[in-house]
Amino acid sequence: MKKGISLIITLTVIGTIFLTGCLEDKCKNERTYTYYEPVYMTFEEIRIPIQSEAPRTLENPGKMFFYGNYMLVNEIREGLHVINNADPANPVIEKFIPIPGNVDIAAKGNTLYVDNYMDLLTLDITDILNPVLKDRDENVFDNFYSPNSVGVITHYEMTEIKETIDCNHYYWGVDIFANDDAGGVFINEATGGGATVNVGNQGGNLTIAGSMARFGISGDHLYLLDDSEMIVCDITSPSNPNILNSVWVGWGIETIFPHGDHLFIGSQTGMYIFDNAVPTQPTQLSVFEHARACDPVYVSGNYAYVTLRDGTPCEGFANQMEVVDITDLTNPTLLRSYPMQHPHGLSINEDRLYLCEGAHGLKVFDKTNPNDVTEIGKRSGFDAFDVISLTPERVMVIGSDGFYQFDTTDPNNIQEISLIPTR
Amino acid sequence: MKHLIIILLLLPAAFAVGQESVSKKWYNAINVGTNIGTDIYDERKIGVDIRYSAGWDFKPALKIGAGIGFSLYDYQPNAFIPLYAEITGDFNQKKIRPFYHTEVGYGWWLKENEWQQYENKPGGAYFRPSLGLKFTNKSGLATSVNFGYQLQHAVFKRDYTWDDWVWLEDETRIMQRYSIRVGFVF
Repeated sequence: MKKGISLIITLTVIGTIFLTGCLEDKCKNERTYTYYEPVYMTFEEIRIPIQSEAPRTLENPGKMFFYGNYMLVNEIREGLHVINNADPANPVIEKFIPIPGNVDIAAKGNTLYVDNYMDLLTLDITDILNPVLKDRDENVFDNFYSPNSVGVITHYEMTEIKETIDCNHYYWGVDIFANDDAGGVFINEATGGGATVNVGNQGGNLTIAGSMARFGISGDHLYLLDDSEMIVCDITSPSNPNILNSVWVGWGIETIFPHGDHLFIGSQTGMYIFDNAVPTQPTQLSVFEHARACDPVYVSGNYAYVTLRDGTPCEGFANQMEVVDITDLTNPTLLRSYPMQHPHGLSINEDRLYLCEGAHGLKVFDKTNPNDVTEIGKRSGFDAFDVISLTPERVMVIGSDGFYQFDTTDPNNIQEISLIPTR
Repeated sequence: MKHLIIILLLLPAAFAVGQESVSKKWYNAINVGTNIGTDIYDERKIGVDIRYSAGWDFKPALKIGAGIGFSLYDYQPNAFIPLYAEITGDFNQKKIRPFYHTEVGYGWWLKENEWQQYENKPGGAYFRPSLGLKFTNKSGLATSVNFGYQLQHAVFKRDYTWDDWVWLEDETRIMQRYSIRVGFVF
């Protein structure tokens, strides 16, 4: 009997070991995720002839550029709206200039510099309604991935995917964190709207850009920010820019603000100060580091005003304006931080500081004492991401709702002069 | 396999009806064993089980109780704390007694590593039908060995969503293993 029982138990144990193949674990994974689908364009689709066409409605406005009686408003990755602003109460969109991939603008006199995905275009805008392409520098911006010789990935479109897969699928356990960086392409949406103030009076036309520009002009040199490098171009001959060299700055650089012999570069991790005494070879003097956040920079006197905000793609968790004492450019020091709601672009005119608060509208501050910047007015109920102040009493604001012009004579009662709404 | 499970479930009830002797006393049982099977990658996995249960001995063929234990499946998520109801009974009253045993309950998963910190469903259903032999002695202490099928269901979520970038996962895992245990009943 005992032998029989031992035999049964032994056979059971042995059988179990050999039968394990009959029982197999099962695993299903239902996943919902954001997929960034690459959008390709051929070189022929990108390098189209530059000629203005009938006006379009604003849809997704980006940076703006003040040019005499005209405003150039970027339609993100589409081109430029040409707005006749001779009568600020009745601005008129007169033309649209299709420029695939365009997000940045800079001008010297009657010469306009724009990006065309990976290329830099030089346009003669003597007749701004009929720009003429004077020069195309190919592949200046090397952050566009070209999977083949036919074209490039221009951007990624988000779609939500739902799928069920077996856990032993090769995707399981693999983080498909496809994002803007995937595939070597980086489309910096943070630059999709904004303005640095590069003020000039070139060729009789007052030109002003906003505080979030990636193109900056200082004297006879044009500085272009790539994702991590500053490209230096000689524009002594404005219609024929000569690309000289690239200077490494750091990852996540976003905005450039030329000021005297210095360049102030905002990045996602800090503000870089470059000595530009030798324009062809800017040298880094210092860096003022802060928490990871998007940060336009505006310089006035001995102070730099830096706004930090959170959210994609800035990744940060700070919403504040920092006043940095730059008396000693080799050792910038934080004077004071001011909490904000969601600050974007900013502009300064005399003692007034205008600050875009994203979905919270526009705020006006008295910055007479940088140690005690005081809010003196605001206007909410619209989206604002960049501002240009022509005078202390008049500002232009761009946001997802459209292009606004305000009378800020009384900061407590900001009056809308006009609005060109988005579609 | 489904037919075997149904038979194992129905067998105790049918057998219990046919029994006449009545014992009416509390029982305790401690079991240790191993679970053996293959994971989703066809790799053989050998785990460990520990159980303690107690219940009421209505009659030799029908004992109902509850138990708690620990199971290691050697596969992610690999450690569970099962809490279960059990029904068991002997097929005869001899010194060596064949018996049936079924556990039904819920297994709580123990988080096994940091990267799964977002998982927020604690586990899933637990089920184990088995047949075995019990060796009794005069003191009332019995040793046992049993063989069965063990299933642990685990459903849990992962949420890596960050800002406007979405990544949600609902994962269902079923670990099914052969199970061998030895134990004491007292």
